[in-house]
Amino acid sequence: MGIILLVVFLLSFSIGRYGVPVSEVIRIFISRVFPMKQTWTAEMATVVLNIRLPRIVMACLVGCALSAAGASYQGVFQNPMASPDILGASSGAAFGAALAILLGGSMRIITLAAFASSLVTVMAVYLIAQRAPGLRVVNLILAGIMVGSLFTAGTSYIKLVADPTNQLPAITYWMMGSLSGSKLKQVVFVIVPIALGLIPLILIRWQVNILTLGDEEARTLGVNTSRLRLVVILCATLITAASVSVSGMIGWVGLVIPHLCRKLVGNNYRYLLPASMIAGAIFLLIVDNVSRNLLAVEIPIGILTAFIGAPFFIYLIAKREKTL
Amino acid sequence: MSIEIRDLCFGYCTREVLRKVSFSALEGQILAVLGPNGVGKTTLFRCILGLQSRYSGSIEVDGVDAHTLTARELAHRVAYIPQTHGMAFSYSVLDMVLMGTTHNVAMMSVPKARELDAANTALVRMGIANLSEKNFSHLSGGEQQLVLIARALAQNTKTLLMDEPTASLDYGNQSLVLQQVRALADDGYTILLSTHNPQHAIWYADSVLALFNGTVAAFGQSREVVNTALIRTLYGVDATLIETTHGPLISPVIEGDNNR
Repeated sequence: MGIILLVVFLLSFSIGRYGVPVSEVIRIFISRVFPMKQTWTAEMATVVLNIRLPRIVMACLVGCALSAAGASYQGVFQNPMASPDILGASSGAAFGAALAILLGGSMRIITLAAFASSLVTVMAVYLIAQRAPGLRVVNLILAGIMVGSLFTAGTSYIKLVADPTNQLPAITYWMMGSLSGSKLKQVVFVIVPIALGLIPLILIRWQVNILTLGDEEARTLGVNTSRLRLVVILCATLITAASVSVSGMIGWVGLVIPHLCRKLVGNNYRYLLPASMIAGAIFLLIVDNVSRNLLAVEIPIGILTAFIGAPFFIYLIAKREKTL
Repeated sequence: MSIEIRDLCFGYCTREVLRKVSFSALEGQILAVLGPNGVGKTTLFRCILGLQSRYSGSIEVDGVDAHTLTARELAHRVAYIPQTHGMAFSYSVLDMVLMGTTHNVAMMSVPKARELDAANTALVRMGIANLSEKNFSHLSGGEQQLVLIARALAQNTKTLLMDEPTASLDYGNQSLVLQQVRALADDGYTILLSTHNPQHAIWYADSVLALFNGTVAAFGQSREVVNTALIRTLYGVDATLIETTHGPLISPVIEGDNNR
């Protein structure tokens, strides 16, 4: 899988309006470390290093983060349907970020607002689903839809009052989800919260298995369930919010990719989480390549992932086991 | 003495579920908990497992007050074997058994060779090493129960709590599971199990705790405690006890027997 990621990673540099051969891409990278004879043009180096590098790294980061968040949410909620978008985490983050844009906040403020509002959404959804009678799997989805639409309505209101020349287009385009504006500065900025969330998740991934057995059984196996659940939710929400704040709403990655990985490596989080992260990066990188190359005008990536994700969700509902 | 319970009382809001329950479970013995549905067997187990903490009285595990133990510390001492049930995600048998070792694994780590050894030993002990790579949810009920017992063995505790281990098993699997449980007790494990079958208590258990209306109706050696009067009290049915060379057999009195 790692090899596939590397190949896709390198190929992505050469695909685009301005074609650069893969051999030149590799040479440009090596030349940054070891001095070597220049066989490429100055334009090639600029395109590869300043335009494509930030965007490609960003696609990998966001894909990895959303997919890991989805896999983690599925574990803590013991629910194969959970994902950042279904739980409303994405719409929550979008609301917070839109509000921050409206108030003219800096990049840092936007991320913080996205995180706070996303966390409120996930907690609200979780509490509602817990309290309501009936099937927990269905409750969680319903609560996610309700709370999510509440925040979407809030976002719409913000758009209504936003300044139509500058803020409104920014918010609207950003909501569609796109990686087109990626700058190296943003990559450096977002890598911190994503690492802060991902590293603990990777470290405690074995314990997430125990949570999926249910609270009581997990406690008899010696796991402090409430603390563990809180840690996982905080981390997963942090990485969701961080990626939403730089890339906008890119839906479905967190649902589709962990499921494909469950088919590939099984449900054990020891292997599932790393697999989901790598597969998420590969997936978003490929989709982003399509989004910037398919048509002369770039298609926002969120639209493409929805075209792939929505049919997959229908497939999941049709195929899910009777016990759920 | 691995489990010692004194004057345990527990109530949900207005209704008292357990009143002044006292008993002890000895090493190398099976203690069967008998009683009609809703009598508080599950609540009793939940108290011992630390899932219910608002009880009065004392629960001592290996001489330590259970109230003072964290979930992890309690998992060092008592293993719980639930009834088989559906799960959101299913794991391989080996992974299921490995989960029993979690209390020995640091929070930020994964099971290593030592834990893998414990899991494999437990699988061999239960005679299901051949299932190790199978998917847990594809197994039969009896096999799943054996896997859950293996998980408890991998947990490496001296005390096992089993919630109706034979519920939802067919006749053959009931005997298979109970014989394995008996063998574990003979190896020195302390076993508490709840059951709806007094016959199982007579055949396999050393002692019996009979609960009725939240209090102890009887507690003692299983062959002395289980009699027709107790069956009448607990379940409201008449039964006869037939002495055989394999111990007493309990049979409910079937009305209109002569007409068949």
